[in-house]
Amino acid sequence: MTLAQILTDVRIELDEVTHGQSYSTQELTQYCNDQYIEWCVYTKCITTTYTNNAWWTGCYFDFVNQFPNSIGVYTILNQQTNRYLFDFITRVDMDKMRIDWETWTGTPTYWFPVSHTKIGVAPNYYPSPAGLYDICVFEQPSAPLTSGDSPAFNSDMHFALVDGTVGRALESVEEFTKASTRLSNFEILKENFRKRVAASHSSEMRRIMGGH
Amino acid sequence: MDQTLIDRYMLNGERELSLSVNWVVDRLTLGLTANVSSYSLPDYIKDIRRVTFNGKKLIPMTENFRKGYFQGIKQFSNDIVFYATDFVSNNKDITFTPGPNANYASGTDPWGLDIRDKCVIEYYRTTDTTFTLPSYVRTNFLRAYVGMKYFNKEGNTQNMKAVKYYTQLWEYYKKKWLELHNKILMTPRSYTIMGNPSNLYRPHLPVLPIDQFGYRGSDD
Repeated sequence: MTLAQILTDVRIELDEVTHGQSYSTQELTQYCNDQYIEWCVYTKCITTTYTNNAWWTGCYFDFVNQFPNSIGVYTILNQQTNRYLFDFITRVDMDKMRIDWETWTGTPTYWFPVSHTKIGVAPNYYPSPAGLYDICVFEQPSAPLTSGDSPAFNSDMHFALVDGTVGRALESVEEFTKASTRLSNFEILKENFRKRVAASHSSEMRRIMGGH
Repeated sequence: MDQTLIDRYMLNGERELSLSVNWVVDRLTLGLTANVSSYSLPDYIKDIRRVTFNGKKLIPMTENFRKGYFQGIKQFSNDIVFYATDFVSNNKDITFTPGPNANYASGTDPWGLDIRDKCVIEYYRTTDTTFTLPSYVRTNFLRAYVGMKYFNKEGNTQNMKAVKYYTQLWEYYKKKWLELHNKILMTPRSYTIMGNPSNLYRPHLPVLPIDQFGYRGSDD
């Protein structure tokens, strides 16, 4: 579905086809884009891979500064060793492994989240980065939807944005009970889709071994 | 709606979120003076997460423990081991044990160059105009807070039905941010296989010839 088709459905739900339009297209587009961003952030359904020499100069990498649309790191592949960096430890685990991991030099082997904008990489080549890496990141939509654009996730779930947009429209005119119903449904669909995406992100091996 | 009022509500909403959930992480490089153990910290620091000195993590302890264990002894060394914080009083203090016996300059790159030869403090802080919620949740989350506060303000616009709705929405968004931050952004991904994948195909332990050494017993 394109944005135009979503907005047509929204106007049908708001009974605006026969009784005239009380919401401007600009207003509805804004609501739809708000819900679209929220959908993509929660479900982590958009991933992009970037290839470059290591971006980090030490043991921390500010991925949001490097990739402004990113919300988190998915995987890191070291092309030199042809291995993915291990991603199953936390920063606290690293502290337990060695108290001086920040100064640990060598081929990067582990990465872990440090904050909502940074990850840690250990060990690392200090002071200059080395090696070619593929970094796959979760992203928010790169641009708001315009009339002919389709949302960048599975087409069978585009209809969810109709409920989200109608909910926001009803909220703006203080129809809170009606808005709650619509937004609750949007949340349920979002959660279901998040599980679907998470299942596809998990490897088949983990499921076989009893992880999920 | 007055834009100044909206901006104020948005800042307050963010601050409330940063007080209820630890999510704003920042660092500073603390300049140390020889033979001085205690230092004051900025007021916006909420809690300390990690302190390193010359690249090594220091061991945290409570201020009461420090006072009880070390009493009034003043020790100074080139290798700091412990730190204790006192955030109860108005002045937020950090005390090192042993204290530094040389001067260490403050720095400007606590996430990089300063790590190896300076004292770096990593902390949770409250939000301000620089440290804000990520753009992908800011508008949506804070509209709930703005709605809650705006409709609660005395005057023509007061609407308690709207206040109830936006309060519930704000509580919901606070939980969502906690979930998004703790479970989605900060949890290790664990998409790669645990340990070295080659371990899955590692050959068995070598076995000595049966005709000469027999079977391995259970206590081998």
